[in-house]
Amino acid sequence: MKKYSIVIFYLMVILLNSCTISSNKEKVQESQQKVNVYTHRHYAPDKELFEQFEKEQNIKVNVINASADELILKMENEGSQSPADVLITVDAGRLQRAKEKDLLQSINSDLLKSNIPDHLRDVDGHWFGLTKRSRVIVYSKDRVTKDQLSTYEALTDDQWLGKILIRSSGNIYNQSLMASMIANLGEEAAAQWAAGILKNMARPPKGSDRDQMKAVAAGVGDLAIVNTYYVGKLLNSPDSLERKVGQQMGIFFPNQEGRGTHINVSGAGVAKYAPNKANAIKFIEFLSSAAAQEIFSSSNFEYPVNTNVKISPLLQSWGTFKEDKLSLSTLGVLNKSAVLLFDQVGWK
Amino acid sequence: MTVLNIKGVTKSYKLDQKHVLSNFNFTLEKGEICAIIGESGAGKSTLLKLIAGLETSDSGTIVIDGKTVESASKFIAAENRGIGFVFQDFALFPHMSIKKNIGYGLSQFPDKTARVSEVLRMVGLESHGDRYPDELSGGEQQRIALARALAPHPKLLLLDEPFSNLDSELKSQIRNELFEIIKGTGVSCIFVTHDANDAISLANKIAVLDQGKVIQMGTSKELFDQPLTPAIARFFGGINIFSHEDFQRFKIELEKADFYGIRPEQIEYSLKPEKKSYSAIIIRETFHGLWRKYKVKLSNQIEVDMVVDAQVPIQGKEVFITLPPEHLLIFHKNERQGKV
Amino acid sequence: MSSSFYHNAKIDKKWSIITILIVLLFGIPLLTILLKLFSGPGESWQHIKEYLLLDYLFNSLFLMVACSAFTLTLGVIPAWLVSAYSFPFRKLLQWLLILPLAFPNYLTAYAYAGLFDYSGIYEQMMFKIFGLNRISHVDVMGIWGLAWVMSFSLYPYVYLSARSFFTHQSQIQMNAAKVLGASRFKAFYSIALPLARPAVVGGLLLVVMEVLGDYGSAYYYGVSTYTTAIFRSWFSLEEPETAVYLSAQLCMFILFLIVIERGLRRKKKYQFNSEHTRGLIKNKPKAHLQIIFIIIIMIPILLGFILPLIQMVYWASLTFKVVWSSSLVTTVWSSFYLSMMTALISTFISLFLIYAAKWSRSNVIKRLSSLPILGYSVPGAVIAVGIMIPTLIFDKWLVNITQVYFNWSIEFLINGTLIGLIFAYTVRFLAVAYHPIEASIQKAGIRFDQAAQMMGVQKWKRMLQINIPLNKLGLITGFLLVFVDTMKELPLTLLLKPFGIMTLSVKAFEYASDERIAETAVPALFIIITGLIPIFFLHRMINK
Repeated sequence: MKKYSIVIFYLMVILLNSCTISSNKEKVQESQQKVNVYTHRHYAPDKELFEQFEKEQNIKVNVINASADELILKMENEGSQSPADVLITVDAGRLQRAKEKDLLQSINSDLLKSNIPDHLRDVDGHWFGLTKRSRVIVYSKDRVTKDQLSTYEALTDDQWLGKILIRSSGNIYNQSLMASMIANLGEEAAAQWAAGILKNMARPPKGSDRDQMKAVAAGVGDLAIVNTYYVGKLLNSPDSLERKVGQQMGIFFPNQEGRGTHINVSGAGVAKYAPNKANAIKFIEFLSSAAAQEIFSSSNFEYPVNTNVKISPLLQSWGTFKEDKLSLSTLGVLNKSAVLLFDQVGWK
Repeated sequence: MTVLNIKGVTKSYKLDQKHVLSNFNFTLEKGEICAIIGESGAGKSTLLKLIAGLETSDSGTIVIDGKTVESASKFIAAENRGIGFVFQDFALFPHMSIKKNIGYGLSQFPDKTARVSEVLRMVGLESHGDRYPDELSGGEQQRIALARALAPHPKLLLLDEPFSNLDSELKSQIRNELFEIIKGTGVSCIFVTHDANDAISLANKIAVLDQGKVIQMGTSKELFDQPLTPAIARFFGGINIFSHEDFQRFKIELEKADFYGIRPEQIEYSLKPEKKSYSAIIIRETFHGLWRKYKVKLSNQIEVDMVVDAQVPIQGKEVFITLPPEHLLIFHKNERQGKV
Repeated sequence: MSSSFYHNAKIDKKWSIITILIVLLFGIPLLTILLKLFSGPGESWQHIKEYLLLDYLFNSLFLMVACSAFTLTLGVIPAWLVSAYSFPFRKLLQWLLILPLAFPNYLTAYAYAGLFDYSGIYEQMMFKIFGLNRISHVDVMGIWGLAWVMSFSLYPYVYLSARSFFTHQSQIQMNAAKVLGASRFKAFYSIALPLARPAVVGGLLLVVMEVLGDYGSAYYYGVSTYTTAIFRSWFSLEEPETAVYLSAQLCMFILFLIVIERGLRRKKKYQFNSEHTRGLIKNKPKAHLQIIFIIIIMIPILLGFILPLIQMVYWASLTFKVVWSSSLVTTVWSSFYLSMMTALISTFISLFLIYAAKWSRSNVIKRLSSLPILGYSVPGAVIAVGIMIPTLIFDKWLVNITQVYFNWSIEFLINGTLIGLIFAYTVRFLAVAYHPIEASIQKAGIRFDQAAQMMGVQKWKRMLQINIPLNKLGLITGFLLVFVDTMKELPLTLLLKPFGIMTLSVKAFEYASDERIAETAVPALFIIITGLIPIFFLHRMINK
């Protein structure tokens, strides 16, 4: 009897503990300076950067990792009690959504303004781009030559019938590309474009950006539409075969003659009810600094937003390109239309 | 003094089915040992569970030792009734030693260890206290189950088919031993059985249950000599039953009844015709050790069973039988009669 | 009912009220969802109906049918072979056949994607053998591949139910058929198979429930099903209303399947006295047949367990250094902790509900008490949605009143906390603990409890001293099964996990959706290894 009651007592203690885990954590750190970060990015280089920030500023970084959608939902639910200081997402569209839902606040920082070009941050200062990623065409160096390629629109040409690889429409990068199409060409032309790509697909859309490139290497198709840093990741993979795939890929920046290649940003904003607003601003300023931006570029193969930063040799080898200067807020605004259009043309 | 008083208890399991017990009444006096007999489905086990508190009745009251344990407005749970119960399969806790098994219900006792030794001695298994149930023989388990039920000095002891799990050789020996113990403690006791020998040899009162009612209650002699129904008569041994029309053919003057019966042992016979005898032809003979059983066909076309001493078999094919009127049993249809 | 219930002296109020509270608590998520059927969908429903619904329906139904057919083949044939014949390694194979249960189907899906992609073993082998011949390319990432992958990870459900039937129930008829001179094969399809149907259908129902509730595999393979649609309409279309509406439809469909299965079982209840079952008399076939049997049995083991495991181990060797960090230890601990709490709570609630039913003198309570196990039939994503809605309302109300009356500002109590997550897990997995515990109690019988009751021992004491020790194996099995299921669970965890807490399954999913499929291997191996422990127990319990 005694034995059992001890066990049960012990279990009760554990159970009660579980309720208090989260709140305790915060109490312990009450005295220390801190910043609570809700981030969709979960890359190893980010972690290094956060640690560096902690060391330099003596501000503890509490990270909460989840998809942007979930983070936004959480902030909405928490309302004014939200502990979030900074929201980081991997696309401008989600930041724009957060702004529309009144989850972010306007920040006026000269440092941020000088570090980040106008078109890569929100006009009202609600969010700031931190890294750029461009969605490009990669091709099999064996089967395709550079001069066969020109624009996103040209990919609908019949010469690419059964040759194009691209992932599903559920993916945010595709949604954002589609939103840029809508913004630049209008809904009808965008729908036609999507239908044209669908017609030319080598297989139904599936898998990740990496998978598209592997499929190109395997000969399933000749071209893929992917984000640039995935090429970098393949080239630096621990798996020798993946490295081989990366080496077979040529990179082409489309629409250089016209509006420029579609880009998106991974960015951050200060939460509306941020309890540590000053730290939050310091944190974003730090991430936009040259030192931090260099790490983004060299370790994660993303393009820095800070123009003072030299990009890594790998990115340099791909060459410079003209980027689509479309306001990134527009991508967020048009996101839902993009999703609906995808569904209508039947792009899964 | 009355230990148990059951008044108007009704119990049914499902609404659409008939009552397992209907308007049931029963009393047990202190020190009485009562056997409940009846066919399976007669409600014997249900009755025991109701008394124990393992089931609830639909209506009626149960009073144990002057205390109402169940009525429309009251229910005392089984664990609070102070009744001892010996289960059909003993239900000794397999993960506890014999001593722990017996002592398990004695938490209120001032001297638990002493009481455990005492009951162990009572059932003659002092040396087995540290063993586990699966190390004991069936008979030993039976005795431990009894010791465990008796240990807390119950006001009433209930036994559910206590001997059905024992080999028939052991059975009569253990049966007698156990009831010596029970009688020794003077506890009031009810046991359910389907074996007439159990009932006859152990109980000083037998209640016959049929379709949820007590149809006859009395000492074993009363039930044997004056069974109220053919079914009861049959329970205590073989019997020839005649319908009223058949019985007319014997031309015996007897009060008018729906059925008549006579036990095979009580049929008299001779090899020569006698006064009021009927000639009969033997159609089958079976040997049963101490006695022989004959099926004979009477001149009036009625077949009866009769039994004779195995040492003096009937010679020849023909025999003359007499039905002594003093041994003839009569049954009336207005009594509940069960199956004929 | 309530007044008669309250005034009935024969009903134990305390226990009845606790039972009713538990049933209500567990019923809330399901009721929330089902009520939404009547309040109508959101704006984008029209859009979904027009462009997507047919696809969702077709894919979900296709997967259901294809996986049923595959798992039947993969489950019943080996089950028959191991229970009707004797051959070398039979005992070992018999238990190896259950191992794919340790693999959550999304991990099998990742492993297959890896095996068949450009840098995978298959493609490289083909390359080495046939050179540049690309005709051999196998595209596993499609609906057929998905059906294949899920079948190989789910067939053990069918295998287990078929085998337990063959070994425990059918030997009388089978031996009779044998005496009558029927060949083994004939006896199999004309007697054992029809007799086993209700049992096999039970196993199949579990497969179908898993298939319909899957999110991880379908998402990764790009197949739109009802469950992926729930996520899509919630997040991409930003319409929780529509997500809930879809959930409700899915829920109705599964409840419909359950009703049908119950009906089937009631109609065709072949039950035999299982007192003296010693299994089929096993034939010893000729040597070459023995080899063929072993090969047939090895197919599901190889493709459902060994091959994916090799892929995972290979990946883990590549990525271990990158993935291994102190935060992974925390992740392992959170997974472990969550699974343990869920398993403990589920085990105790199951035990409580079963005995509350046995002890209750009210038929209403007896019937109510088994209702909470319905949660198992509801897909994880649907439960998450069903819990989020009412708990948000509750939490907001609580935050409000504490603010107004006590001027305390508190955080949410249930939504987005460990309590909420564990509650959701418990709703989902209660049945997983309930069934083995109930089976164990059924087998031991209620008589020990009644014996203790007759000795004047009160309920709680009986529970601790008699009922728990006597049903130890059933309790441990129930505990471990819930433990592993919680460890593997993905969609519900994705939606309800507190922020700042990471579990192994979510970690694996994140790596996969982050295009770092090789990195999934380390968390995956943790899940798989933990999953093997209860399988061992389960095997022992079945063989007992």
